[in-house]
Amino acid sequence: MDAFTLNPVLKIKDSVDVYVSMTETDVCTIQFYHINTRQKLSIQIDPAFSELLSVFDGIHSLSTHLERLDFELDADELKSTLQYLIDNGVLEHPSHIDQNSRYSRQINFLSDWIFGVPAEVAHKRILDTHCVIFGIGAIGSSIAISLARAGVSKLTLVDNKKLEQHSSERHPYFSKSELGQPKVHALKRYLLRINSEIDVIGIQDKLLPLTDLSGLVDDASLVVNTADEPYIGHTSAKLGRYLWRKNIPLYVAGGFDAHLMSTGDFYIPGESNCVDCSTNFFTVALADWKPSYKIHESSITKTHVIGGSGGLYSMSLFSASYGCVQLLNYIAGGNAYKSRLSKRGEFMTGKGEIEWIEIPARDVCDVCGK
Amino acid sequence: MSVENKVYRLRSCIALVRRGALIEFFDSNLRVGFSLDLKYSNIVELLQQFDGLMTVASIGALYPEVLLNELSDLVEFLHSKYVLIEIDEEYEQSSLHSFPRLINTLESYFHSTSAINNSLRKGWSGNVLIVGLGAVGTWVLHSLVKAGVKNITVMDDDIVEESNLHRQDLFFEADIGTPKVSAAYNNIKTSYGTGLYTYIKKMQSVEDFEQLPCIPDMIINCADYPSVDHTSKIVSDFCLKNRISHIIGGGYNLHLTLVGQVVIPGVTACFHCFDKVLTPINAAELFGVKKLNRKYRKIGSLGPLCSISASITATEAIKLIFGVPLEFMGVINKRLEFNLKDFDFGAFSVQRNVDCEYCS
Repeated sequence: MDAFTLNPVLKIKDSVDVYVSMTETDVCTIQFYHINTRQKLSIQIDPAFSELLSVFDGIHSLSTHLERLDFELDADELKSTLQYLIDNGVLEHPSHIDQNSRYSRQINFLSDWIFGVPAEVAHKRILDTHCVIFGIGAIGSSIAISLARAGVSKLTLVDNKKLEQHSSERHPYFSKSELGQPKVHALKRYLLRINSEIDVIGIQDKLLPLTDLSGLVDDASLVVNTADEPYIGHTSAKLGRYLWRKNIPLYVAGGFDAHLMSTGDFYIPGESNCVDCSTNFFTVALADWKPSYKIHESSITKTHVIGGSGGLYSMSLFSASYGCVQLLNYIAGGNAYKSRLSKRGEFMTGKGEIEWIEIPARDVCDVCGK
Repeated sequence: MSVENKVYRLRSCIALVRRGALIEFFDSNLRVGFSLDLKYSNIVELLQQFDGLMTVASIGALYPEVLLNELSDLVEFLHSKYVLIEIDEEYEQSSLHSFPRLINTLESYFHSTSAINNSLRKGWSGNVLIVGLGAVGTWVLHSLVKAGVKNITVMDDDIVEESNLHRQDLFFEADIGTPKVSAAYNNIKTSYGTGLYTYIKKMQSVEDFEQLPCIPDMIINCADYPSVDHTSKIVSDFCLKNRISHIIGGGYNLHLTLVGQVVIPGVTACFHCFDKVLTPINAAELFGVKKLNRKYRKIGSLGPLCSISASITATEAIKLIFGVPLEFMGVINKRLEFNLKDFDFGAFSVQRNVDCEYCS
């Protein structure tokens, strides 16, 4: 790699802490710590190298530093060590991001989180995303807001409801002045206040068994489903089969009733199991589970059941945020999201931990292959 | 009053599942449950009679084959397990209208409607101070407002910058250049009609709290300047001296993945109890180690990662301010760390040091 013959300008990434300790008289251990992701890397090397590292400023070239420090290092060893540190995200050729620009902090984060592509490229993938969201209640709208803040430039919102007083408990875009307004219009106005250049399409409609999806999702890079009426399993099955054939990923968000702080299910054609496999898994796993509930209807609101479903904004925010971390990792070109494919977690608020279940693919499935 | 004359309601979020001789009771809000060996075949139907209107005795009269004292024992047990809630007060109509989910959430934590009414009064009138309106503080603030908490003071001296918008709640393009506390005040006032106490100040010492109009019931530290250890120590010093519950927030610069602990002075491990355990660990890792210092360093951040941390902090804060019993808290005597490689939490537990010179 011959960036080195060109006498590179290098710097240690802003997101990396460097610790140096003398192990023996002629060897030191240098530990690199990625503060954003909390990953560690260590090397053992000539102490002179740590002096060189400490002067990398992203301004002066390698040869300038070597002359100034006035010492001899084996050129090949130096070259391979520097290349190793570049490959592992410790050293970089300085970029020229305006540090005060809107997404500078996120781009810095991506440089630590997404290996193999420059952070600006990873960020551009986020900007170029078109996400279609079905259902913009507490979860769907929190996802829309989080993605819009992260830079996603096109969002299509599908929902047929209007904002009511009790929406104020969990809908982040609730405002007294929007009471009675269609949710898609209220959220669109909210998103445009975050970023006036964003393209938001609001569709005041409901996903039904006969809904024609082609005009809605064919252009999407990603679809999020939070539509839990009549039942999230049904809306997801319809979307899942269609999108699998179109090779478009589907994220079925968590956070709905009885799963108030759950993680979502990410269906990626060719990578994960499919919605039908999940449905089948739960049908079998819950074959004995025949719950009865006593419904005490409220005289106040038709939708409210006294003693029924709870939930707080902070809880739906958990599910939405967890989902967006997965989605942004996927969109930006990371690998970490793969660790939770075909798994569902429930955050237990009384324990401070996530309980996981595995959702295996079926041996034979006519949707996702085999 | 004896159990027979009391009125209970079977909570709608409790799933009753018959599995052979066992009946499973599953709270679908908390996702916790237990099973009882109840052979009586009509038990589900009987329990569903608990509608919040009839007394235990009048329900018992519908099932003459069930002995009233046995029914009373069962009712007492299911009441203690949060399956049946005692109806000894009405809820306010306005509370049900605006906060149905909050009330349903609280029903998993209290034994009677009067206890819930007390909890609502306590939470809605509680004084909360949030220090720092950044990538954690803004989401926590919004969460508290949405749960109806009215007496919130926010302390921050920054102005909204364009580079804040990708990770902070409550701020919009139109707010760029205005003080954060003013932008938060205006946006909350417009959306919810409720105010905030705003305090333009960068917290630098314990004295900064002395200018507050009243001593808060709870302080949430979401400030990380110059470092979160520095700000947490100030908050901790003030709170331990005044016996104030507090939360060491996470999700801040250099430590985006942390969810800090809830501290109830004299009851749970405090900042110093943690410090006593953490210092030797950090010292061992850093023995003979020199940190390379670098100028002009800029730190990265990811919005939803900060709001994962904020969402847990806010949920804990809401439980605390509404007086939810400690057994239901999730982040006491421990702090959580979100691992970005496998997308799960790890916990670091510390028990309270009974000899701690700060909190004992």
